Amino acid sequence: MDRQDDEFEAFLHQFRPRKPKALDHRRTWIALGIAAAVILAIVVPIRVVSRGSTRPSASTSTLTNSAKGGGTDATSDKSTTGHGPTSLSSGGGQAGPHRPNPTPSAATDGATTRRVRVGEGVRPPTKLVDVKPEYPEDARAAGIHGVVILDIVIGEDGSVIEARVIRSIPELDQAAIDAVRQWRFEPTLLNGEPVEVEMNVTVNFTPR
Amino acid sequence: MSTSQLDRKSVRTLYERHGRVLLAYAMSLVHERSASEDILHQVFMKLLQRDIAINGQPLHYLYRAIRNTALNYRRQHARELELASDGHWLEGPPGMEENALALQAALADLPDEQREVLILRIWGQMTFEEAASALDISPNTAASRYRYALAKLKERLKPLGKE
Repeated sequence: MDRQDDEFEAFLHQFRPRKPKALDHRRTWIALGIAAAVILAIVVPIRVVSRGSTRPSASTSTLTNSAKGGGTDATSDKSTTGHGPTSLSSGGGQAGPHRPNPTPSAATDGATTRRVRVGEGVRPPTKLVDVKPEYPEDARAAGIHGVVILDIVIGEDGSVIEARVIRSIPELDQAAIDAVRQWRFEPTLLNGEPVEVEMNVTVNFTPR
Repeated sequence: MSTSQLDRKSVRTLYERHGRVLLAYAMSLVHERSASEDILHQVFMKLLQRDIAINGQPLHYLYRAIRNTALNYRRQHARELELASDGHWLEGPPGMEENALALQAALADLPDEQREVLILRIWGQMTFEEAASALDISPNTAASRYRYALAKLKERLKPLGKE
């Protein structure tokens, strides 16, 4: 091991693996789910009784929205009937091909597109069509190589509808975007409805 | 070799102390964060349920158990894993998030056997002897795999100014 290796090891030590979820997070989720169900069972009938004929679905949607910090207002009432309980059950993290968190970043009402970001609790969708990037000849000849990182949005149909470079190698960016634009993914469902998914992807350029 | 069973407190202590690196190790094998956490939890839940008698050092057992569980998972989900490239498992200091992603991508390109030694050595802070024991290889093999891994990483990360 030479000094260069020591320096490189010091560089690596600046990074560290992310912390895993608590060992009993499932139990915590179950406890939270039970607590929420109990509160709903107690609060909703009281509100219905106290308000007479006011809309019971509004309180359900308010609870759901406050849990995600979405800050939506009462205008979402009209389309949220029945969404509250479904969102609560999906928050328990049960098995399925993808488990999106019920935290759509652009949620407005049921008719507009909703988007989730891959990360905690949201799995990346399965890629169905992969297209390798075409290595630009000039870049290859110049020995330019490395990793381009893109932020992409996958549409409800599984196609890539947006691609934005977040770590650039100028000579390789366009090739990366051209390839990624042709990728197709399995559509992601949230409460049975397709949603857009945003995530980062890496495209490697390694000269052979 | 002695056989032991761990009490709940010891299992939790192991999880607190080594969970990050064990998760990184699982990520290095299946490249997908949710699946890796499932694998990590499966292994620890078995310990908590006291289903397991451990031969030798508990930490070395954990690495072997993670590896076996991850490889099983990989066999069962080969098609899905091919492209699951968004499992971010490394974090960098502020301002170096992109470097963390680049490093993670470079790590993903290493052969499994080189990457696992590197993870145990750098983030598991193991000696070559300890890593070798956890992976059932000789210390010399661990050392040479580590050097190959380091050389490849340096080459891959040249664009970041790390060479």
